[in-house]
Amino acid sequence: MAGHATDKIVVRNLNAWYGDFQALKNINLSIKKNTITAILGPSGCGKSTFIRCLNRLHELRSDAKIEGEILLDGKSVFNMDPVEVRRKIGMVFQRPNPFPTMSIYDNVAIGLKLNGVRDKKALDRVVEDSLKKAALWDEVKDKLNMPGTSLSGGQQQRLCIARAIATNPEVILFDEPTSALDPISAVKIEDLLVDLKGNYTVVIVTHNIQQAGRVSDYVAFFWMGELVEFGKTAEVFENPKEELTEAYLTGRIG
Amino acid sequence: MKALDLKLDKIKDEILKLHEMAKDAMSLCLDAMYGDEEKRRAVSEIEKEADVLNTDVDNDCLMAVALYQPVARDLRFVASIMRMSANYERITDLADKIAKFRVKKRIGEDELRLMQKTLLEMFDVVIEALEGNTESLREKLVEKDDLLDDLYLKVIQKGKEAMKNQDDINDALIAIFSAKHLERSGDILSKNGARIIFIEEGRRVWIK
Ligand SMILES: Nc1ncnc2c1ncn2[C@@H]1O[C@H](COP(=O)(O)OP(=O)(O)OP(=O)(O)O)[C@@H](O)[C@H]1O
Ligand SMILES: [Mg+2]
Repeated sequence: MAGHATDKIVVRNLNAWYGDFQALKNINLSIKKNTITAILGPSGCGKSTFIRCLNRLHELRSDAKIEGEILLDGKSVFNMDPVEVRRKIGMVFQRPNPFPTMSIYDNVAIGLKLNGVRDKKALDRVVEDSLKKAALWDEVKDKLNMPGTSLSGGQQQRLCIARAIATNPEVILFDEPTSALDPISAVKIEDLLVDLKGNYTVVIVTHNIQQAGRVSDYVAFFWMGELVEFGKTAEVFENPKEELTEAYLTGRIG
Repeated sequence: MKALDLKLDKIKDEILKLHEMAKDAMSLCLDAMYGDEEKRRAVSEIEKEADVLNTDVDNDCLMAVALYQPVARDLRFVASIMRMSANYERITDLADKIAKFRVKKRIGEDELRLMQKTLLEMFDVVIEALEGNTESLREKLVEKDDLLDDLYLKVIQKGKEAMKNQDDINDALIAIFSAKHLERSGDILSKNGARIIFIEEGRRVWIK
């Protein structure tokens, strides 16, 4: 149906292990295109593991095991080249991690360069475009050759977002992107997330319940490796179906 | 969250207080209208106090939202209490309007007294719900609200008849207005009942 959000990622019966420890238990969930889905839940409930499964980072670990199905646009990511999966599904981590020896410019261009793009004009265009989308361009356009690490924490995080955008992904995963930032930088990132969903599908892990309320369209609440509740943010925040969700959202868990 | 819980407890105490005040005002207003000056003053006092308390509740709720960003039941509670508080204040207003009337002849007194009694029963149903028992709350309120509507029509009928006598027109109008205010108070109280269902169950229901 035209204008209706369609499924970008479909997760079916997903189980994941670290050695003998099962970190995810039978997760079923659909992530809609051009929406922001927030993943909530207490520390250790499997949020990071979940999003690392989506772009096949989890299986890079030697002790990792994964079962179940993850479909990207209806196709199993396990039948795709993992590098291609990671290009389509970008990721931004909790701590800003620009490549320390690289300039601002190269931090953004690195993905394309690794993919063999050599055309300087094309690179310039992508770098500028990505930095603009990451709302960082105005702050760095005159110092593109400075090291990425010379920026403030909030700027570094936006640089990492620009880096993720540069390879033209379809989905961007954020693992607690603002937990290391001051409130003003955090608001900038939140605004950015909302802008991004016009072009991308966004999944964000956050410990900040209010942040999930502010930016997300859907929330998934995890608890000890299980998906307890999934639904529209407004509905879950007003009237969660599960008592566990209620207890977590209202800070009465324990 | 301890701090939020303390705030919510305070708000809950305040809304219970407002409930009692609205009920008191309603239980006094007819006697006041029939000439009891002391009760008339009492209703007027309650009306003023309710105004102040409603403003306090409003403020406390806003602060709770601003400082604690409540969600789920807490959010439903705070948002609903703001409405309910204003509703109770409105009921004391209506009681005060009735109390300020003065009549020579008591037209439709039986019906008005019965309306008052029904309304006071509705207060008891609502207080029980506020204290946690929402079982068949909607049904109980609907039943009493329907009764109020019937009695209101009866008072109108009696008023119309009384108006045939020139000298009684004023008293007849007052009887009708009083019945209207009592009927309206029942509606408002029902809305508060619906709010309690929303707080406790997250369902939006209409009583009326
Ligand atoms: N490398 C690992 N080896 C063994 N167990 C792990 C490993 N990484 C995570 N786990 C376990 O898997 C579970 C889920 O971890 P995960 O990192 O996904 O949690 P999380 O929800 O992201 O927590 P946090 O909010 O603290 O980041 C935890 O119980 C954790 O101890
Ligand atoms: Mg994590």
